[in-house]
Amino acid sequence: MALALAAAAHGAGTVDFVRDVRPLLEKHCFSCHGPEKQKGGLRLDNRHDAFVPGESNEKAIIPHAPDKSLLMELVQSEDESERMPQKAKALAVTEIDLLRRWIEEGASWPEDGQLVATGKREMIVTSKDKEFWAYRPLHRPALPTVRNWAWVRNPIDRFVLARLELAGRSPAPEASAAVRERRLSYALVGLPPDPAVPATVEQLLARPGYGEHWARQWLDVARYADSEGYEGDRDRKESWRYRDFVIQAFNDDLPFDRFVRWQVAGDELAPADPRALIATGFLAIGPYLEIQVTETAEYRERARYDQLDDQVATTASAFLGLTVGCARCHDHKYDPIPTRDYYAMAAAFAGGERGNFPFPRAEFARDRFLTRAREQWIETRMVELAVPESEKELFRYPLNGANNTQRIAWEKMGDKLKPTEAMVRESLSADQARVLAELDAQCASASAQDKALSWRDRTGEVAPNWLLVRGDALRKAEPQSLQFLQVLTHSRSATNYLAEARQRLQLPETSGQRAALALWLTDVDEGAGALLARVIVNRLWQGHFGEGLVRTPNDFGIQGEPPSNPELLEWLAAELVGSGWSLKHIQRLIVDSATWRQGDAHEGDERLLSGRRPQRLEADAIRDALLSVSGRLQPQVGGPAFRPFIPAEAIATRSRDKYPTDIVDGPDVWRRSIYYFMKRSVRMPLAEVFDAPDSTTSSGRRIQTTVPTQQLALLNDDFVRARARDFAGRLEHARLEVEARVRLGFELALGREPSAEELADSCDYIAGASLTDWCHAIFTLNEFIYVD
Amino acid sequence: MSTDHQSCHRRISALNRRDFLRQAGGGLGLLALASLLNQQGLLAAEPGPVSANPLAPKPPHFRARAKSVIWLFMEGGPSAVDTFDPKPELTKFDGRQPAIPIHTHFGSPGPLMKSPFTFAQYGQSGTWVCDQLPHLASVADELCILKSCWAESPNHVTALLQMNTGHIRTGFPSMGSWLTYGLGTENANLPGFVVLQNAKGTKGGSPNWGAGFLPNSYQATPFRAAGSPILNLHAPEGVTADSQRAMLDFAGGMNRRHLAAHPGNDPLQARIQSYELAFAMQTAASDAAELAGESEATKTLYGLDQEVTSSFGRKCLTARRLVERGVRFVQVYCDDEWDAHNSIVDNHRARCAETDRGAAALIKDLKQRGMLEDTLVIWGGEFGRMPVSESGHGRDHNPEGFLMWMAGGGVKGGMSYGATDEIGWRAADRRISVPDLHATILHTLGLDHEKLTYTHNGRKFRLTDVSGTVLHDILA
Repeated sequence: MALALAAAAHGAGTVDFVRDVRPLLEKHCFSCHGPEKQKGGLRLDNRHDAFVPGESNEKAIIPHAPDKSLLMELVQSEDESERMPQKAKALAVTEIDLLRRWIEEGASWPEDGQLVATGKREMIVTSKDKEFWAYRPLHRPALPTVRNWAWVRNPIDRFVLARLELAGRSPAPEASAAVRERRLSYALVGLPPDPAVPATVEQLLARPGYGEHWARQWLDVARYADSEGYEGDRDRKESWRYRDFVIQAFNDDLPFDRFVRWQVAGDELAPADPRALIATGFLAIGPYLEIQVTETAEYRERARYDQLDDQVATTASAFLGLTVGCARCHDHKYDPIPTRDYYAMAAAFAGGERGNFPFPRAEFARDRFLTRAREQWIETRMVELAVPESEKELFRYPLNGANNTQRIAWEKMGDKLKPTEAMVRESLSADQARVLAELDAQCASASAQDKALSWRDRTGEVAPNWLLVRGDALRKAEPQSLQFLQVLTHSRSATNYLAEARQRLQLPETSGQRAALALWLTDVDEGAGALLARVIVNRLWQGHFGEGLVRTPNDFGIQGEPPSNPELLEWLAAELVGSGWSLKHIQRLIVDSATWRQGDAHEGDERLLSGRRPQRLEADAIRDALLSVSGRLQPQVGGPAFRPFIPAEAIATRSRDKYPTDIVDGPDVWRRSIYYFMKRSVRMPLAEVFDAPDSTTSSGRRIQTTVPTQQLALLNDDFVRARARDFAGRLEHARLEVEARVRLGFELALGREPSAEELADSCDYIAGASLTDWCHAIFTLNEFIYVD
Repeated sequence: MSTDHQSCHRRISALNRRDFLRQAGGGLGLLALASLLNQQGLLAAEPGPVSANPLAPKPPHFRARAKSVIWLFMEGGPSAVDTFDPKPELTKFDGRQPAIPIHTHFGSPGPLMKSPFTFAQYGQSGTWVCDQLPHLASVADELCILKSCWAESPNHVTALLQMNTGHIRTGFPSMGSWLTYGLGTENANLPGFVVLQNAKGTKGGSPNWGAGFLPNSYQATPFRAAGSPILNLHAPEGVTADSQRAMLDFAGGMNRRHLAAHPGNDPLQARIQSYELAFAMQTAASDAAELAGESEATKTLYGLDQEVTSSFGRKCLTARRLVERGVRFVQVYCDDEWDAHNSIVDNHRARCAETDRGAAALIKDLKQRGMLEDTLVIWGGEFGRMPVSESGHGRDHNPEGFLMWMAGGGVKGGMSYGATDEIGWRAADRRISVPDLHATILHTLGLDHEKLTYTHNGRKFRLTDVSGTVLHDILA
């Protein structure tokens, strides 16, 4: 009943109360005729009261009769003393027209504001919600005045020092040059410094290692892995191109707003740029449950919504630090994110497909064209062959060979439903053939058939999308068009962005919905851009200080932790936007600040940023440091992933693509950890034990634990022992005297000279054990895996 | 009441820690470390915030009935009507098409199919058990059979995930991780959560015992019942126990100097301590996995003398040894699956033969040692099987109705709870959801499933998500 009502009210061209009218009433009327005040006895924030006459005894709203409704009379009044809203600007002509049409159409107002999908009163996002610090427009705070001017190196320090001085505290003394050099190298390139070649900030930022190091954080955020997950856990042969795109983007200092836009809609916004096509891998690299075509339609539909959830939730977490996943089933409990917003955002991805698509533009377009033509060919043939409706699904999916029912069906059909490309081409209409001929001509001049795991819309048409009842894919409440999070939407609606996107694109084969989402995400003034900037500068800060100014990097909502220094966060965000979204600009500011250069933290609250605490290296950096110090690190940048050795007993998987057990320790595996093959069902033990996330959902911060199995790994893992041998070999080769070897070892592994006591202890220990044992012992030191 | 319990618990765990430090290794370096840790207040304050050890024991929410859990995971989905839940109606209508169409996972359901096995009643409770499970029949009075379970997914991997993590998607912590997060581990020298895997690899792999968004330290440590039980437990080639001790002592001196330069740094302190725990774990874990010291009678009880029963038997015996040493949760997977698509006779006869003896032995052995009352034993898979046939003599997946049993751990023995419909298709009477099972298991360990929460990406998560009711009727 309720469902039928909702559907009827949502016919084409009709005014939708929730979408169109309520925001208008909220904006202009609720402050005087809402929950707090009911001037003139009129209340307009719920259905019951809105249709009851106020003190004037006249009904404000009379369905189908706008000219008799007091509301219309008052908002249009020429007499300013009478006109509503009082003491405010009159409603715009378009707004008045909307109200009029709504009343004309019957003033449909869903029962008590109840939302069919949740069975509850629909959450209303108010202008007050938009005042929460994270949702506010970006402003550039003035630099605070401080007393200790001598300490200040750049504006960051003024924000930090102002807080310290207010608390009656002072900064910690500057760390020694040796400490700063080691810290800088780990912070910018994730490797220990090379004592022979001291590097400046600019030199480090220019190294490929900068992107290799900073890509790690983003790949955690983007839940990157190289296989599909779940039972089949097939290897993804083309996922690495997205990883390389991220590394390259950091190295090229690709403006962050563009970096974001491309990941959501690179194929729509910059189809001529291969990087932009590859960037959409962001939407495709999440875990994927291979759906057997013999599963019931219900099961398949549920699985499809789980896929959508991965994309909606990851998009919101990664870019906006917001948890919209909760809104899949009910309005968000804490943040102003109604269920409607969730499904409205899901619309952007509803009509898409994942695959290994060619990324030169022309071939990408031809691939999509031929894929659709092939589907059409099969549909037509199925009609001709009188395939029963119940079996059609078996032939719509590619034969994956995994399932008997499907295989038998295909065998029965012989080759009748397996068109070759030539057969598809022959079946085209004259118009279609012309389009294809043009694409062929373009492809003829294009380069090799490289493919990347990426995402695209199936067609240019907007796919149907639904608001679900309590997240149940089988209970579709009402159609839901593309909208963005209301709390981050100001005067431009999704319709405006979509119009802009379509105008910019001129691409009939794609819907432009993702481009609209991308434009909104990066729109600082009218969209989510301010929050986007806050979230990324916080991630950068966290990369340097171990924790962000906001310690919950993936939750900038009400349940998240407020920033420890809000003005600094705001200033950095404004600075990022002002610099043309240059992340390297923010990196320079951070590492140049006196704040960053401080030594050990004072006792007390390091949230004030008085001093620094030693930080443990992350799993990848530990492995890379072992390779670097032992002189084995291979410099090769990018390309397909390598598979590290994993003991057979740590491989317990039913994956269709087996993990090899015959990997030998050699140059192929001595590459940086960013390049190791991340198989979701076979995690690399050294990474897993040192807290690498499981890459199923966005991870904003690696939780650091201290458990004995970490120590077992450093003591007993063959890889660690092998690097100790290499390290010893390197020292033996370089120096003749034991003492000189120890000095060099300290320099390489710890970035400092040994004390006299350490030197003596080391020589004693080596005499009783071996140089390899000493090198191994150095790897187990806290000092080796912590950076001051 | 609960406060008394908490303080008591703390005192005991701190005492254990001191005992350990006195006994383990015993070298001078270790004593120096213990004294250093005492000075830093690390031991005294345990398990307060000073300790960075995430596995430190924590008090439960209320009085616990069980201290640990052993879950015998019958991967693949055993059939209820062929094990502990005979259905006369199914026998009666054997060969007929069901009145209501039954949708099966792999399509084309056949007619109703009676069980090929015969049933008899056992024990004082008169519990029905099929003729393929004679050893479990002999402990029938210990079993609490939950006959009305249902789950969400008809697919192995997603159903396994739900049974283990509460969710049919990956990314969520497994029950063992939640338990370890909630209660810590009683024995610092061993992991708190151990999984003894299916020799072929469990479907879906590590997410079944992963920590999801909890810190990785709460995930299961895979433990092998033969050979080196855990990864990196033994020193690499060329390193002896003595040379490793020497290495630790040298590194310990360096680490203490480093710590002195960073006073009051808890993670650095904790890591120094952790090295000693790792060193001790090498012995403790090897010892736990070493079955040689068990009596011949015990080995025979678990079926180690027979090829067909020895693999599962070893795992069950290892599970007992782990629980005995304070491991919180041990999950034991059978080595082959109950996935009887082609023939219920062939498949279930083989699975019963492999697992019956070890499972029954575990219950007897635990009881004999007085451990059954605080060890909860669970038996069951990710779903059950259909009452209709598949490909002639097999049965397809059935998440709509299946059974599990529990024993010990404060659960009533010799009873059954709930029922499926008369043909054994759908859970009908007192339906038990997976969150209900989880809530009940947590309850026996003294944890309130609604209070055991963890905040991740802005939301408080719990094992049972938004549902779950404790089955109070089955608690002793």
